[in-house]
Amino acid sequence: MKSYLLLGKGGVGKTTLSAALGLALSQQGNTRVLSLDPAHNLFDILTLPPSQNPRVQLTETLIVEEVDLEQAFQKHFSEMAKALQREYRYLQPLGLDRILNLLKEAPGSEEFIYLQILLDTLRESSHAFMVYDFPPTGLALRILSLPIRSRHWAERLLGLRKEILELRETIARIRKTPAPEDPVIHELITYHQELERLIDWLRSEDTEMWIVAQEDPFSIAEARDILIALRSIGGQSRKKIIANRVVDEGTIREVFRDFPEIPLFVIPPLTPPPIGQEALQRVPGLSEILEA
Amino acid sequence: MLNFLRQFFRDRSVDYLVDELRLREEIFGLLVLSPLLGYPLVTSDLSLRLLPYLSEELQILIDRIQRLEDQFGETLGRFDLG
Repeated sequence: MKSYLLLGKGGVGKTTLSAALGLALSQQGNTRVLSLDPAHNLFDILTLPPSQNPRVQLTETLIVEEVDLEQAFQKHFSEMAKALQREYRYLQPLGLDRILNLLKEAPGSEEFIYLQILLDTLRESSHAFMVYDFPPTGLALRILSLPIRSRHWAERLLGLRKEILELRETIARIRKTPAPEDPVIHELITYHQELERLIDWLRSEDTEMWIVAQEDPFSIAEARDILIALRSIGGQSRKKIIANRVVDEGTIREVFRDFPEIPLFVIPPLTPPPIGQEALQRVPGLSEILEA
Repeated sequence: MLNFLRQFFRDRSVDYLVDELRLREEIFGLLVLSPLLGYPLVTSDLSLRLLPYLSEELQILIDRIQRLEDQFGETLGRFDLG
Protein backbone atom coordinates (compact mmCIF):
# COMPACT_ATOMS: atom_id res chain seq x y z
CA MET A 1 0.00 0.00 0.00
CA LYS A 2 1.27 3.45 -0.90
CA SER A 3 0.23 6.34 1.31
CA TYR A 4 0.09 10.07 0.64
CA LEU A 5 -0.16 12.50 3.56
CA LEU A 6 -1.15 16.05 2.66
CA LEU A 7 -0.03 18.61 5.21
CA GLY A 8 -0.12 22.39 5.44
CA LYS A 9 -1.88 25.46 6.75
CA GLY A 10 -5.67 25.56 6.64
CA GLY A 11 -7.00 26.84 3.31
CA VAL A 12 -3.92 26.17 1.14
CA GLY A 13 -5.74 23.54 -0.94
CA LYS A 14 -4.91 20.26 0.84
CA THR A 15 -8.42 18.87 0.44
CA THR A 16 -8.67 19.95 -3.20
CA LEU A 17 -5.33 18.31 -3.96
CA SER A 18 -6.33 15.20 -1.98
CA ALA A 19 -9.47 14.83 -4.07
CA ALA A 20 -7.58 15.43 -7.32
CA LEU A 21 -4.85 13.01 -6.25
CA GLY A 22 -7.42 10.37 -5.28
CA LEU A 23 -9.09 10.65 -8.68
CA ALA A 24 -5.72 10.36 -10.45
CA LEU A 25 -4.58 7.36 -8.38
CA SER A 26 -7.90 5.56 -8.80
CA GLN A 27 -7.01 5.17 -12.49
CA GLN A 28 -4.16 2.90 -11.35
CA GLY A 29 -5.77 0.95 -8.51
CA ASN A 30 -8.15 0.89 -5.56
CA THR A 31 -7.86 4.18 -3.72
CA ARG A 32 -9.28 5.59 -0.50
CA VAL A 33 -9.22 9.31 0.29
CA LEU A 34 -9.66 10.06 3.96
CA SER A 35 -10.21 13.59 5.21
CA LEU A 36 -9.01 13.88 8.81
CA ASP A 37 -9.79 17.58 9.04
CA PRO A 38 -12.49 18.16 11.67
CA ALA A 39 -13.79 21.01 9.46
CA HIS A 40 -13.75 18.86 6.34
CA ASN A 41 -15.11 19.87 2.96
CA LEU A 42 -14.05 16.91 0.83
CA PHE A 43 -17.63 16.09 -0.19
CA ASP A 44 -18.28 19.77 -1.05
CA ILE A 45 -15.22 19.88 -3.31
CA LEU A 46 -16.42 16.73 -5.05
CA THR A 47 -19.94 18.28 -5.20
CA LEU A 48 -21.41 15.24 -3.48
CA PRO A 49 -24.85 15.66 -1.95
CA PRO A 50 -24.94 15.74 1.88
CA SER A 51 -24.79 12.18 3.16
CA GLN A 52 -25.44 10.46 6.47
CA ASN A 53 -22.73 8.02 5.51
CA PRO A 54 -19.23 9.42 6.03
CA ARG A 55 -17.84 6.91 3.50
CA VAL A 56 -18.90 7.09 -0.15
CA GLN A 57 -17.93 4.78 -3.02
CA LEU A 58 -17.38 7.45 -5.67
CA THR A 59 -16.27 5.18 -8.51
CA GLU A 60 -15.52 1.49 -8.78
CA THR A 61 -11.97 2.10 -7.59
CA LEU A 62 -12.37 5.17 -5.37
CA ILE A 63 -13.75 5.55 -1.86
CA VAL A 64 -13.91 9.01 -0.31
CA GLU A 65 -14.43 9.48 3.39
CA GLU A 66 -14.83 12.32 5.86
CA VAL A 67 -13.83 11.12 9.29
CA ASP A 68 -16.65 11.43 11.78
CA LEU A 69 -14.83 12.26 15.00
CA GLU A 70 -17.92 11.75 17.14
CA GLN A 71 -18.36 8.24 15.73
CA ALA A 72 -14.65 7.53 16.24
CA PHE A 73 -14.89 8.69 19.87
CA GLN A 74 -17.87 6.37 20.39
CA LYS A 75 -16.09 3.44 18.77
CA HIS A 76 -12.80 3.75 20.62
CA PHE A 77 -13.97 5.05 23.98
CA SER A 78 -17.08 2.93 24.55
CA GLU A 79 -15.03 -0.24 25.18
CA MET A 80 -12.74 1.74 27.43
CA ALA A 81 -15.70 3.26 29.29
CA LYS A 82 -17.15 -0.23 29.87
CA ALA A 83 -13.80 -1.46 31.20
CA LEU A 84 -13.58 1.58 33.49
CA GLN A 85 -17.06 0.96 34.80
CA ARG A 86 -16.15 -2.69 35.45
CA GLU A 87 -12.84 -1.96 37.18
CA TYR A 88 -13.77 1.17 39.10
CA ARG A 89 -16.99 0.20 40.84
CA TYR A 90 -17.57 3.68 42.24
CA LEU A 91 -18.02 4.88 38.64
CA GLN A 92 -21.05 2.65 38.10
CA PRO A 93 -23.65 5.18 39.29
CA LEU A 94 -22.28 7.68 36.71
CA GLY A 95 -23.54 5.68 33.72
CA LEU A 96 -21.69 4.90 30.53
CA ASP A 97 -22.55 8.14 28.71
CA ARG A 98 -21.10 10.33 31.44
CA ILE A 99 -17.92 8.28 31.57
CA LEU A 100 -17.65 8.59 27.78
CA ASN A 101 -18.03 12.35 28.05
CA LEU A 102 -15.37 12.49 30.76
CA LEU A 103 -12.98 10.55 28.53
CA LYS A 104 -13.69 12.85 25.58
CA GLU A 105 -12.77 15.86 27.70
CA ALA A 106 -9.53 14.26 28.95
CA PRO A 107 -6.38 16.09 27.83
CA GLY A 108 -4.93 14.60 24.65
CA SER A 109 -8.05 12.60 23.81
CA GLU A 110 -8.26 14.13 20.32
CA GLU A 111 -4.72 13.09 19.32
CA PHE A 112 -5.35 9.67 20.85
CA ILE A 113 -8.44 9.21 18.66
CA TYR A 114 -6.52 10.29 15.56
CA LEU A 115 -3.83 7.70 16.26
CA GLN A 116 -6.53 5.04 16.62
CA ILE A 117 -8.08 6.14 13.31
CA LEU A 118 -4.70 5.90 11.56
CA LEU A 119 -4.11 2.47 13.07
CA ASP A 120 -7.54 1.35 11.89
CA THR A 121 -6.73 2.43 8.34
CA LEU A 122 -3.47 0.46 8.45
CA ARG A 123 -5.28 -2.62 9.76
CA GLU A 124 -8.26 -2.44 7.44
CA SER A 125 -6.86 -1.11 4.26
CA SER A 126 -6.85 -3.40 1.29
CA HIS A 127 -6.36 -0.43 -1.01
CA ALA A 128 -3.40 0.11 -3.29
CA PHE A 129 -3.38 3.81 -2.45
CA MET A 130 -4.38 5.77 0.64
CA VAL A 131 -4.64 9.56 0.60
CA TYR A 132 -4.80 11.29 3.99
CA ASP A 133 -6.00 14.88 4.02
CA PHE A 134 -4.58 16.01 7.36
CA PRO A 135 -5.97 18.70 9.69
CA PRO A 136 -4.20 22.08 9.73
CA THR A 137 -0.59 22.26 10.90
CA GLY A 138 -0.87 22.49 14.70
CA LEU A 139 -2.99 19.39 15.16
CA ALA A 140 -1.25 17.54 12.31
CA LEU A 141 2.17 18.00 13.93
CA ARG A 142 0.87 16.86 17.31
CA ILE A 143 -0.57 13.73 15.67
CA LEU A 144 2.59 12.96 13.68
CA SER A 145 4.98 13.51 16.58
CA LEU A 146 2.93 11.49 19.05
CA PRO A 147 3.94 7.94 18.03
CA ILE A 148 7.65 8.61 18.59
CA ARG A 149 7.12 10.42 21.90
CA SER A 150 4.70 7.75 23.08
CA ARG A 151 6.99 4.91 22.07
CA HIS A 152 9.78 6.49 24.12
CA TRP A 153 7.51 6.54 27.19
CA ALA A 154 6.04 3.11 26.49
CA GLU A 155 9.56 1.65 26.50
CA ARG A 156 10.40 3.31 29.80
CA LEU A 157 7.13 2.23 31.36
CA LEU A 158 7.71 -1.31 30.12
CA GLY A 159 11.07 -1.31 31.93
CA LEU A 160 9.44 -0.09 35.16
CA ARG A 161 6.60 -2.59 34.85
CA LYS A 162 8.99 -5.49 34.34
CA GLU A 163 10.77 -4.52 37.56
CA ILE A 164 7.41 -4.48 39.38
CA LEU A 165 6.53 -7.90 37.97
CA GLU A 166 9.89 -9.35 39.00
CA LEU A 167 9.28 -8.15 42.55
CA ARG A 168 5.74 -9.55 42.54
CA GLU A 169 7.06 -12.90 41.32
CA THR A 170 9.77 -12.95 43.99
CA ILE A 171 7.24 -12.24 46.73
CA ALA A 172 4.84 -14.85 45.33
CA ARG A 173 7.65 -17.42 45.18
CA ILE A 174 8.62 -16.85 48.81
CA ARG A 175 4.98 -16.95 49.91
CA LYS A 176 4.42 -19.99 47.68
CA THR A 177 1.41 -18.35 46.05
CA PRO A 178 0.80 -17.98 42.29
CA ALA A 179 2.01 -14.69 40.77
CA PRO A 180 -0.99 -12.63 39.65
CA GLU A 181 -1.63 -11.92 35.94
CA ASP A 182 -0.81 -8.38 34.88
CA PRO A 183 -3.12 -6.85 32.25
CA VAL A 184 -1.09 -3.60 32.34
CA ILE A 185 2.00 -5.12 30.76
CA HIS A 186 -0.12 -6.88 28.12
CA GLU A 187 -1.73 -3.58 27.17
CA LEU A 188 1.65 -1.81 27.18
CA ILE A 189 3.19 -4.42 24.89
CA THR A 190 0.20 -4.29 22.51
CA TYR A 191 0.27 -0.47 22.39
CA HIS A 192 4.04 -0.46 21.91
CA GLN A 193 3.63 -2.77 18.90
CA GLU A 194 0.93 -0.50 17.48
CA LEU A 195 3.17 2.55 17.90
CA GLU A 196 6.02 0.69 16.18
CA ARG A 197 3.69 -0.04 13.29
CA LEU A 198 2.72 3.63 12.98
CA ILE A 199 6.35 4.77 13.11
CA ASP A 200 7.37 2.19 10.49
CA TRP A 201 4.55 3.46 8.29
CA LEU A 202 5.56 7.11 8.76
CA ARG A 203 9.16 6.22 7.89
CA SER A 204 8.37 3.86 5.05
CA GLU A 205 9.54 4.60 1.52
CA ASP A 206 5.96 3.83 0.47
CA THR A 207 4.79 6.89 2.37
CA GLU A 208 4.88 10.33 0.72
CA MET A 209 4.38 13.58 2.60
CA TRP A 210 3.10 16.41 0.45
CA ILE A 211 3.65 19.73 2.17
CA VAL A 212 1.27 22.21 0.58
CA ALA A 213 1.90 25.96 0.70
CA GLN A 214 0.79 29.11 -1.04
CA GLU A 215 2.68 32.33 -1.65
CA ASP A 216 1.50 34.02 1.55
CA PRO A 217 4.11 34.27 4.32
CA PHE A 218 2.01 32.45 6.93
CA SER A 219 1.45 29.32 4.89
CA ILE A 220 5.14 29.37 3.92
CA ALA A 221 6.16 29.68 7.59
CA GLU A 222 3.93 26.73 8.53
CA ALA A 223 5.26 24.64 5.62
CA ARG A 224 8.80 25.29 6.86
CA ASP A 225 7.77 24.30 10.41
CA ILE A 226 6.34 21.04 9.03
CA LEU A 227 9.52 20.30 7.07
CA ILE A 228 11.63 20.85 10.18
CA ALA A 229 9.30 18.69 12.31
CA LEU A 230 9.35 15.90 9.72
CA ARG A 231 13.13 15.73 9.98
CA SER A 232 12.73 14.44 13.54
CA ILE A 233 10.58 11.54 12.27
CA GLY A 234 13.38 10.51 9.93
CA GLY A 235 13.21 7.37 7.81
CA GLN A 236 12.83 6.78 4.11
CA SER A 237 9.48 8.50 3.51
CA ARG A 238 9.51 10.88 0.56
CA LYS A 239 8.71 14.55 0.99
CA LYS A 240 7.50 16.93 -1.68
CA ILE A 241 6.69 20.62 -1.45
CA ILE A 242 3.61 21.57 -3.44
CA ALA A 243 3.41 25.31 -4.01
CA ASN A 244 -0.23 25.82 -4.84
CA ARG A 245 -1.84 28.78 -6.66
CA VAL A 246 1.58 30.29 -7.31
CA VAL A 247 2.14 33.26 -9.63
CA ASP A 248 5.79 34.05 -8.88
CA GLU A 249 7.65 30.72 -9.09
CA GLY A 250 11.07 32.29 -8.61
CA THR A 251 10.22 33.77 -5.22
CA ILE A 252 8.72 30.55 -3.86
CA ARG A 253 11.78 28.55 -4.95
CA GLU A 254 13.98 31.09 -3.20
CA VAL A 255 11.96 30.73 0.03
CA PHE A 256 12.51 26.96 0.15
CA ARG A 257 16.11 26.99 -1.09
CA ASP A 258 17.40 25.72 2.29
CA PHE A 259 15.55 22.45 1.69
CA PRO A 260 17.44 21.44 -1.45
CA GLU A 261 16.84 17.72 -0.84
CA ILE A 262 13.06 18.12 -1.15
CA PRO A 263 11.62 18.56 -4.66
CA LEU A 264 9.30 21.51 -5.15
CA PHE A 265 6.39 21.54 -7.59
CA VAL A 266 4.37 24.52 -8.64
CA ILE A 267 0.67 24.54 -9.46
CA PRO A 268 -0.57 27.81 -11.01
CA PRO A 269 -3.78 29.52 -9.87
CA LEU A 270 -6.82 27.97 -11.54
CA THR A 271 -9.83 30.00 -12.57
CA PRO A 272 -12.44 28.98 -11.65
CA PRO A 273 -11.18 26.92 -8.70
CA PRO A 274 -11.40 23.17 -9.40
CA ILE A 275 -14.65 21.91 -7.92
CA GLY A 276 -16.33 18.68 -9.03
CA GLN A 277 -14.81 15.52 -10.48
CA GLU A 278 -14.28 16.81 -14.02
CA ALA A 279 -12.46 19.95 -12.94
CA LEU A 280 -10.39 18.05 -10.37
CA GLN A 281 -9.20 15.64 -13.07
CA ARG A 282 -7.81 18.61 -14.98
CA VAL A 283 -5.57 19.96 -12.17
CA PRO A 284 -2.28 20.52 -14.02
CA GLY A 285 1.01 18.94 -13.00
CA LEU A 286 -0.35 16.13 -10.80
CA SER A 287 1.00 13.27 -12.90
CA GLU A 288 4.38 15.01 -12.94
CA ILE A 289 4.38 15.23 -9.13
CA LEU A 290 3.32 11.58 -8.85
CA GLU A 291 6.04 10.35 -11.16
CA ALA A 292 8.83 12.39 -9.57
CA MET B 1 13.43 -22.27 67.62
CA LEU B 2 15.48 -22.27 64.43
CA ASN B 3 12.31 -22.63 62.37
CA PHE B 4 10.70 -19.77 64.26
CA LEU B 5 13.69 -17.49 63.56
CA ARG B 6 13.81 -18.56 59.93
CA GLN B 7 10.11 -17.76 59.52
CA PHE B 8 10.54 -14.43 61.36
CA PHE B 9 13.37 -13.24 59.11
CA ARG B 10 11.62 -14.53 56.01
CA ASP B 11 8.48 -12.55 56.90
CA ARG B 12 10.55 -9.43 57.58
CA SER B 13 12.31 -9.77 54.22
CA VAL B 14 8.99 -10.17 52.45
CA ASP B 15 7.65 -7.08 54.24
CA TYR B 16 10.57 -5.02 52.92
CA LEU B 17 9.99 -6.40 49.41
CA VAL B 18 6.29 -5.54 49.66
CA ASP B 19 7.23 -1.99 50.75
CA GLU B 20 9.53 -1.67 47.77
CA LEU B 21 6.83 -3.05 45.48
CA ARG B 22 4.28 -0.52 46.78
CA LEU B 23 6.77 2.33 46.19
CA ARG B 24 7.41 1.17 42.64
CA GLU B 25 3.69 0.81 41.99
CA GLU B 26 3.14 4.32 43.33
CA ILE B 27 5.79 5.70 40.98
CA PHE B 28 4.31 3.80 38.06
CA GLY B 29 0.79 5.04 38.87
CA LEU B 30 1.98 8.63 39.31
CA LEU B 31 3.87 8.57 36.01
CA VAL B 32 1.05 7.07 33.99
CA LEU B 33 -1.76 9.11 35.51
CA SER B 34 0.19 12.38 35.58
CA PRO B 35 -1.35 13.88 32.40
CA LEU B 36 -4.82 13.35 33.86
CA LEU B 37 -3.71 14.99 37.12
CA GLY B 38 -2.37 18.08 35.35
CA TYR B 39 1.35 17.25 35.44
CA PRO B 40 2.03 15.82 32.00
CA LEU B 41 5.02 13.50 32.14
CA VAL B 42 4.09 10.60 29.90
CA THR B 43 2.05 11.23 26.76
CA SER B 44 -1.66 11.31 27.48
CA ASP B 45 -2.54 8.56 24.98
CA LEU B 46 -0.66 6.13 27.23
CA SER B 47 -2.66 7.29 30.25
CA LEU B 48 -5.92 6.82 28.41
CA ARG B 49 -4.89 3.45 27.08
CA LEU B 50 -3.80 2.09 30.47
CA LEU B 51 -6.44 3.79 32.61
CA PRO B 52 -8.88 0.83 32.66
CA TYR B 53 -6.17 -1.43 34.11
CA LEU B 54 -4.80 0.88 36.78
CA SER B 55 -7.44 0.56 39.48
CA GLU B 56 -4.91 -1.06 41.84
CA GLU B 57 -2.33 1.69 41.32
CA LEU B 58 -5.03 4.32 41.79
CA GLN B 59 -6.04 2.73 45.09
CA ILE B 60 -2.38 2.71 46.19
CA LEU B 61 -2.13 6.42 45.35
CA ILE B 62 -5.33 7.21 47.27
CA ASP B 63 -3.97 5.28 50.30
CA ARG B 64 -0.74 7.20 49.97
CA ILE B 65 -2.56 10.54 49.98
CA GLN B 66 -4.39 9.49 53.14
CA ARG B 67 -1.09 8.63 54.82
CA LEU B 68 0.64 11.87 53.81
CA GLU B 69 -0.15 13.48 57.17
CA ASP B 70 1.87 10.85 59.03
CA GLN B 71 5.07 10.42 57.05
CA PHE B 72 7.16 10.18 60.22
CA GLY B 73 5.03 7.37 61.64
CA GLU B 74 5.14 5.53 58.32
CA THR B 75 8.94 5.67 58.19
CA LEU B 76 9.26 4.47 61.78
CA GLY B 77 6.75 1.71 61.05
CA ARG B 78 8.76 0.56 58.05
CA PHE B 79 11.84 0.00 60.22
CA ASP B 80 9.84 -1.25 63.19
CA LEU B 81 11.05 1.58 65.43
CA GLY B 82 9.21 3.46 68.10
